[in-house]
Amino acid sequence: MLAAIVRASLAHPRIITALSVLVAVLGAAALLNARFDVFPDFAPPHVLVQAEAPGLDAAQVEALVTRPLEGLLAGTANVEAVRSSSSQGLSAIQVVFSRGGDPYRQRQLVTERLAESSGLLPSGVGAPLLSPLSSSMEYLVHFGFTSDTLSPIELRDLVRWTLKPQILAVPGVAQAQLFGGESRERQVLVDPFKLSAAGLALDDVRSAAQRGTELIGGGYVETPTQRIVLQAQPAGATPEALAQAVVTTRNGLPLRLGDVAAISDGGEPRFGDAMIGGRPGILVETSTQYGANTLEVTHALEQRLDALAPALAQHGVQYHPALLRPASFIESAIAKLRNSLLIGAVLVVALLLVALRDWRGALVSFSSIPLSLLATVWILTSCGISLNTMTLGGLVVALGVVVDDAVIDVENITRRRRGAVGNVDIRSLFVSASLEVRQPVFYATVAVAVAFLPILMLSGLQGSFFRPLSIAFLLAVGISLLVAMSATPALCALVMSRHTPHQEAPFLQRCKRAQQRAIGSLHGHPRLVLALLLASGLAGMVLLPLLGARLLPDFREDYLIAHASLRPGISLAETARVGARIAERLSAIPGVKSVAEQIGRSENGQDPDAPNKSEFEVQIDPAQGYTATQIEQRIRHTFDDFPNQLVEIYSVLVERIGETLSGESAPFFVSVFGSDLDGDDRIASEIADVLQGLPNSGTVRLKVPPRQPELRLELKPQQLGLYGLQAADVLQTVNAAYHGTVVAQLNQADRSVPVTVRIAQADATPQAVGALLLRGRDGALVPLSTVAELQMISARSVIDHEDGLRRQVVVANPQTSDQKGYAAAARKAIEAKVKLPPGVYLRFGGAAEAQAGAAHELLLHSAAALMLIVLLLALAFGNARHVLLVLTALPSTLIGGVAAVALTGGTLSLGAMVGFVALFGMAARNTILLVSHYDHLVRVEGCTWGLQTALRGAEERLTPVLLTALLTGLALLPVAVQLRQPGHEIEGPMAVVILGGLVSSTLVSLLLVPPLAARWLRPE
Amino acid sequence: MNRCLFLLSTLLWLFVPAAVSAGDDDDQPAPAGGATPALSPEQQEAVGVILAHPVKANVAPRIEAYGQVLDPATLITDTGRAESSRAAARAASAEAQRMEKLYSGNTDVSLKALQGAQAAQIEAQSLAQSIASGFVLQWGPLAKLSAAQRQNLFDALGSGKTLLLRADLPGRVSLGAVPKSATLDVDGVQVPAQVLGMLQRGAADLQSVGLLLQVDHAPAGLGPGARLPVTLLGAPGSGVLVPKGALLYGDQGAYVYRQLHDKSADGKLQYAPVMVKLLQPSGDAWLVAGLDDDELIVTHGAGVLWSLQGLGSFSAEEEDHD
Repeated sequence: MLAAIVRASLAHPRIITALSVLVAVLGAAALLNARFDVFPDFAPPHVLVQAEAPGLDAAQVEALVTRPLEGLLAGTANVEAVRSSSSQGLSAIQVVFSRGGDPYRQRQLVTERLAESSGLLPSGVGAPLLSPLSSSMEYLVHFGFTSDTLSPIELRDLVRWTLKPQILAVPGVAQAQLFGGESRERQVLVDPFKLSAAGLALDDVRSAAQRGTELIGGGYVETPTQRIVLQAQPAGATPEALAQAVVTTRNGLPLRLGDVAAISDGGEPRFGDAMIGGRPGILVETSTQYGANTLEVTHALEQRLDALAPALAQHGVQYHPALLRPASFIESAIAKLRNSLLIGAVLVVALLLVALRDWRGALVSFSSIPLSLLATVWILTSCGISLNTMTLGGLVVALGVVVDDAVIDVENITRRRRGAVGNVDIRSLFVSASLEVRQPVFYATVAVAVAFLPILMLSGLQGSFFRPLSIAFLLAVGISLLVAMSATPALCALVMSRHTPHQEAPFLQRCKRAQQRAIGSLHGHPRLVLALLLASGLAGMVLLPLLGARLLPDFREDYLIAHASLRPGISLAETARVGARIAERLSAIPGVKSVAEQIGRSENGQDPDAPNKSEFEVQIDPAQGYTATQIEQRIRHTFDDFPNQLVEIYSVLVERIGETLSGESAPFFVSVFGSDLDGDDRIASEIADVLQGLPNSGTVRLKVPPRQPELRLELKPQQLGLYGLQAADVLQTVNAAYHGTVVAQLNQADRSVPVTVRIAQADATPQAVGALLLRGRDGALVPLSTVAELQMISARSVIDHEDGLRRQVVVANPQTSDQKGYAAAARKAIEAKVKLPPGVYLRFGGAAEAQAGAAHELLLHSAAALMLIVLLLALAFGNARHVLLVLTALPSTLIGGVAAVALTGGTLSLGAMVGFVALFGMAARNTILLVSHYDHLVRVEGCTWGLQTALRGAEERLTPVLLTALLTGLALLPVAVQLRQPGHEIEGPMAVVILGGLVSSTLVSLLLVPPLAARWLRPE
Repeated sequence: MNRCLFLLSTLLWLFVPAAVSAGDDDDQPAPAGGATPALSPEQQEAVGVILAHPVKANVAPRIEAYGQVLDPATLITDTGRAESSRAAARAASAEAQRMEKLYSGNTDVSLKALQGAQAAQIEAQSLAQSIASGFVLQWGPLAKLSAAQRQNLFDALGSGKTLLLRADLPGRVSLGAVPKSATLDVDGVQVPAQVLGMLQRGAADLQSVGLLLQVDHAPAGLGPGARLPVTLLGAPGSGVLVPKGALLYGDQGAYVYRQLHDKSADGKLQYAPVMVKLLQPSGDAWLVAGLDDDELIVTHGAGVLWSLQGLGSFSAEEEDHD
């Protein structure tokens, strides 16, 4: 079949060329319209369910809300994990599904289950809500607004009701969370004295406020000719109007709301806040819709906001753009990768021109690059796969392989033409030259593809990352094979048939002479050759595990996120005060462009954080004379002056990836499961002590925070009876006093304002709570302290669950590049020193654990791939000695990769591991080409097997082997050189490994394999 | 002599630091639990911790009450009823004495008539006592006024310049000392009032302790039945004033952080929580007991130390309240 394709291509070169141009045009069009993203969708499908439970503390939320909801969600199909967090007033449950499922269907399953929750939850608890479906990165753009002229309520009104609809109208925006400012509510502040003196109860006020703002449709009047709609308006649209709402009548006189309460607009109870550059403001956090083009949506949103900015400035509102902008990383990474591709392509062309000494041959060889890569882009985008740093990385790695197929073809045709004597039939020569290399190229390419199968089969997060890379690579390599069998011969026939090629490049001739001398010398020492091969292979295998290992590299982003935790129970105002001071200092660091702080949580937001938690989003600009590392160090140093909080600093990508892995951002953590929370804490403390005793532990903390002060209110049944009070009435009054009861929604043209009944409190102190007056039997006022025991206690601020079990988590941020080594040492130390009581068990997690899992998986799959390669070689050669020779040469390629990693100071990241796997394929390819040529010489050209034939074969294969190695090396060189540049964090180590490995594998193929082959092979 | 001086100085050298150390015992209680929080001067400046001495003060407690302007006509009526009942009792008594004299003089007075007069006397006296008791319950402090004083009060009330006001303290069934003075909040204007005394009859609807107030310069238009907030000023208490922001609340009560004299081994400034007894609020501060005015307390940024202490001392040994 391969021969048929080659013959057909040579028979119709113009048609094939036209088809190739058409494919290239389609690919170019696909490239222009491609969806760009930072990374592939690495997060498993998940749904965040949140239920607001006003007034309940963490333990109550756990028992009354979280447990019933977890019960409903348990058993949902394809659920991988259910994690929950119960905190004051909020139950947040994250349902993580198995990868590969349809997220829409999975959301539907959750919705169906939650539909049964209405009767299970206590009154006052809001219906469970699902967060919008968003991409893995979630973050789209964070931006802010501050104002010197508008009040926090007015600013929030403006953003919430005027700007937010415009933000959400941008296609691709899934959600816009608002932090900061104050949400407007219409407050009915009841005076308990006046209420009691009027002989009214709180219910009367609630009812009056509700009826005073209720809108009931008027219907219509129908005349014989017209239908006139009655447009009713609620009476209490303004505070003044609501004050006139009648509560009851006494002696014929109305008693109005204003007689017992003050009505005004105020702010809702706040659970979050925001500071922009140390000033109070509104922080808007947008997230991307699932499957949307991050770059496109970012640009569209920014365009809209930029258009709004001048009008906002006229109202005294300052717009703070790009406080967090993942698109910047995409732009930077893609630009860097594009440059690497271009530089690589230029280097490839230059080498082709130098090596082939023929612009036609160089053109034909080079044409396979754009053709293969554009066709790959076309197929990728047609399959809905985005262009991201991973798919582009796959194309970069493929660059070297893609050109190889064509080069081997062109080189063989050129060599045969040089060797042709007299008037030969050019077409026959082209056919025979192409067919001669077709089979070995086919098998060699398939070997490379098989080597990539383990990467394709990776599961979990690592699979999500590297599968698109391997798909892009395999597609490109597969297409290049097709191109080499069709377009390359066709182009050769079109442009090279009437042209006599130049002699080979002098440097290649010198290489050949040197090779001949070396093989000649080594041929006499077969044991030395074998020992060299085995020793280098063994050294590579021994040294490889000594390189430190970590899953993810440090991403060079322009944004850092600092997670800060103060003590639970701290007030929102104190968190904001300290935050403003930190922001002031951070802003003063040269190279820091902007600082925004998100405190606590927003309504139905993604982060169910309490007011003691905040996130600083710091934008850095390394262009200002300081390196990113220097700026980051100064940022970390700044936080040293604020020992009142635990701080963890991540790049945006590491934070998102970490949370995707396990719900934690930290590289290493231990979950302690057990039903006794105190027991869990005790074990967790012991584990934390053990971890702190290890070197390079960095920050070690317990994730579920310590207790917070609470004022326990225990009603006294006898006293309640004495004053004729019902428990629910008392609790409702307390709720009205310290939270407020929403009784109605005042719906206006473009907004709705909640109407809230509160009890006016003079003093917000624990002492004042006891003085809260309740309306007892016969209207008598009774202080709360008379009917309830009030006691300050310390109680849990957050209770975490995983799969329905209570858990505490110990988190560590090891300050070492060898995270795998740290995880192993930590695990060993914990197992040795911590004795677990019955019912308590541990689970280790984090990036280090994932890396170990990935390495294990990769090893298993690689073993399977090796078996496949053996079968493939057997199929290709049909000779056990040939197969054995190829396999003997393989391990020695490792040493080059190991040396390259060690020289560049790198660690064995997932990218580097993938590089080693790819390297095996490329090394096998070289040896396959050489050994199959020996077969060709003996079988087709009738040579006698011996040293001379081995020397001839090695000499004839030097050019393609050296050329393909050099081409691959040059193609990857820009990526390897820019190892620490944005966008090259994952591909960089991969390129370094391949470059190093190519050196050793090329030397092995050209110098060590031929003398061994001369002695050992028996070609037929 | 010199040897004695040497011994004395040696003893002083040995014992004074011990005494100072013993005096620092109040540094030890840590209601928030955990280690002593410490900050370097740079950290203290960064987090914005500000220290100050608490201020000694005598502050009168402010008690919020609910006032209702009383109708002077009711007082005058009640007074008239009390006086007329007393007069009726006196008249009945005189009549009974006269009848008894006539009867004992064997005049033409029957025993029946005497007994009737005596019964009328007892009835009138009982009525007078009942009305007098009711008056005392209703108008207690006014019952002690002489007739002239009462007449002056009536005149003042009649002119409208003076008002009587009942101030109720809902939710309270007893009150220690009678507050000295009071102010009314009349549409935002503070009007002084004189506390005449405690009323013995509670308000049935409020179930509260009541006080009778006299307002001598009442704003025009403030008529009987009007309800308005009243602030009563009690007997001044003494203590030190600390800002509300300096106070923290734990399961053992309220406390503030004070700076210790000694620095930590690494040269950091150390702080310790000190329990205080809250006496009463005063504006943005609290009058507290348990602190000396020479102590340096954290007035701003106490949350930093609280957070620092809590984060550094997480323990699973805390009492479980779940």
